Amino acid sequence: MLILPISLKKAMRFFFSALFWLPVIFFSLLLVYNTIPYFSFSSEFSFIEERVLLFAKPLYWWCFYVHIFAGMWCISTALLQFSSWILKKRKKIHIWSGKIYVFVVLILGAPTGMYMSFFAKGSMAERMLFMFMAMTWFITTVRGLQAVHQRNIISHKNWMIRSYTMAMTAVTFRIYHIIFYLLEWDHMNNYEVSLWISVVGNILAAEYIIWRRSKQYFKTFTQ
Amino acid sequence: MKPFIYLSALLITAGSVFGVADYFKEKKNGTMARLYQEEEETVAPEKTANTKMLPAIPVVSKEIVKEPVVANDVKKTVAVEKKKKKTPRKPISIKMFTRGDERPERPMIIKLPEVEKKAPVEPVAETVAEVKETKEVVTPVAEPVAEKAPERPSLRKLYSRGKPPSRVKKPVVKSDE
Repeated sequence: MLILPISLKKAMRFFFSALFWLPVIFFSLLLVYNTIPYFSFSSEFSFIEERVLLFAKPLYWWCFYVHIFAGMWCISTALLQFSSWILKKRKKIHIWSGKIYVFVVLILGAPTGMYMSFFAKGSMAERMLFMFMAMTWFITTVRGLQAVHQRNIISHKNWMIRSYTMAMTAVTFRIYHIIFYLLEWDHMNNYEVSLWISVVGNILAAEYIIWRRSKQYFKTFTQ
Repeated sequence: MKPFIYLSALLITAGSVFGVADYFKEKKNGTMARLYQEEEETVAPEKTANTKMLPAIPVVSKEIVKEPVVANDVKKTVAVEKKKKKTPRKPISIKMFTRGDERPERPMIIKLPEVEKKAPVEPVAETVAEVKETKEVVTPVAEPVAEKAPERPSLRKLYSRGKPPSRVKKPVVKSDE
């Protein structure tokens, strides 16, 4: 039986967390669902069609498929990581999904993302942004892994929030992209603006969450 | 944990090194600028191409489709012609259905209308060749006799090309039982 919190404060917290997590879960699963058809290895997808020259290179081809495979697992396992119920009652699920997350990010997702970032769509600034994302994703995950091995749970949480927000840029980028598309923006402007907003916005969101949780915010970068 | 982190660091370094190498390679070849331009170039013509090509594609397909259609029509017409050849029923002449040498010596009295009614109507078209070979036997015209003619084996059995129709077969089965 689900016993709802009686106090208004708890009820509000539950409501806002639901308001935040329900769209996150929905869009994450939608992204995973939309990724599955790519494993037909067909070249009929618009994403692949506009990168015909790139997909002719075997290394890029491999990097792309490894990257989306890693992204699927990364996003789906990360959803389990922030559940306090799983953390308290089913800790093994948290540990194993965390191991999968770290593996797919460090071994598959970030290296392939780094390679692909050199050929990203847009200007040099967008390419640099993708490189920054790959490096940030990698470093924050490594720091989170190191923190949990040092039994520094608070630091582990902070670094993993940063890592997860980097992973979630794939989701938020698409949300902004759809919004600007509905506003009838030019394709390239839409792409560039939604990319920058998603990366910068996610970083700011992560830092805001960490800032609220920690008493000494700047120490979180050194711990 | 350390080997794992070193491995991942090695991989991301390899990714960046390969990325830089391929990037400059592409830049030297001059393909770097065209990586996404082709998409922009093709998008515009695709729209026009769709409108232009759409009528063209069916034309080709029609041509392709037409051939079997014509073939089918031919087949159909051939089939229809065959049927038309078979369908008109020629009047059955008694001469054509005589048994030639085996005919009874006694003059027969055949009531034409009755025979025509009793005789089963069968496709005759293909028996023309056989009929040509058969000798024409002129039956002697005899005066009507009151006696009944001997029973002849049914024409259907003699000229049937296969199994007799089920109408004939049924009574045979009953008799066997």
